[in-house]
Amino acid sequence: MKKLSSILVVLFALAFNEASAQSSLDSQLRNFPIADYLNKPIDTLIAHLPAGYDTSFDIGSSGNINRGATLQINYPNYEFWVYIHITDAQYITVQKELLTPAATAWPLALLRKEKVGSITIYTGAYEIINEADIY
Amino acid sequence: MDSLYQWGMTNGFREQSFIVVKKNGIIYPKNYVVGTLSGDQTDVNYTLATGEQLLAYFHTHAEDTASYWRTSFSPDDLLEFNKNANVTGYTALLEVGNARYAFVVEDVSKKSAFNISKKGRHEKLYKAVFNTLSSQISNGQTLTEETWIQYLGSATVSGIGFYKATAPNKNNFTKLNP
Repeated sequence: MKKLSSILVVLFALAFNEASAQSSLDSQLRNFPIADYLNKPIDTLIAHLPAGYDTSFDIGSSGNINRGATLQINYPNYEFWVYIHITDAQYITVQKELLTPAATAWPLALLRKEKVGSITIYTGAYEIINEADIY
Repeated sequence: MDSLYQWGMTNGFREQSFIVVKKNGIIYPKNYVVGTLSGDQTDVNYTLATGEQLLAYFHTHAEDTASYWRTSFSPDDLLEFNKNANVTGYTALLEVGNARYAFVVEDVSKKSAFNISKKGRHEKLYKAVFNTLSSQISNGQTLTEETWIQYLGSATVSGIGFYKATAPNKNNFTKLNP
């Protein structure tokens, strides 16, 4: 009985910690001063984002499948994700052949040097919890 | 919409936009945004006056047929649509010259469930379907159109209707994902 109680206490503590961490991250992302990172390199934004994001970023297309590089930074299980458009590209060519993979056309090392044009932070059913843009 | 498309083709502005609102029973467009030269992103001004109800947002893909294929909606367009897709009937309209496309909210709950099932991965999952179909379909417009049909699935499940109207009329829309 005593052993069972101990297990329950541990499980409760773990669940509470997870919920608390989730709530804390939610709060950090909602209050993150994203406007401060507009027109600055993506690398600068990444350096200051709340910790815990997956380091395998998603490179994608914005305008359509063949143009407009974007970068998406995900937190585990897609509980939150940060979607970034660039502006005034200096290191990459924003157009690509239709079937060229985005990560090949727009290498991450170069994309990270580009300036941020817009940042949108999502959760759940694509609920926007924080956003800013230069447009 | 035709004149905006033609102007965009002539002057290199791919993604112009406006919104459609209703007030006192009258429906009208407003907040035209020219976008940026050769822009890769749609910028939409959703500012409403008192009493106005947002019905739709419109934008162009003023693209040639050689390099850009007058493509249908992009994954980013679905994100833009999602921003205000909270009421049944809310619509995204797209002009591509020889056709018009529309996303329409047909069931808000199903649309939310669809979004949650894809959360954070719309672009990635859309692209997976696109890549699979690209070996079978060479025309970019048809390819993007068919990708949406498969990605959204039936509107009775996703809650999002996908429609197309073709030239010269471009007003008689056919549902592509019944």
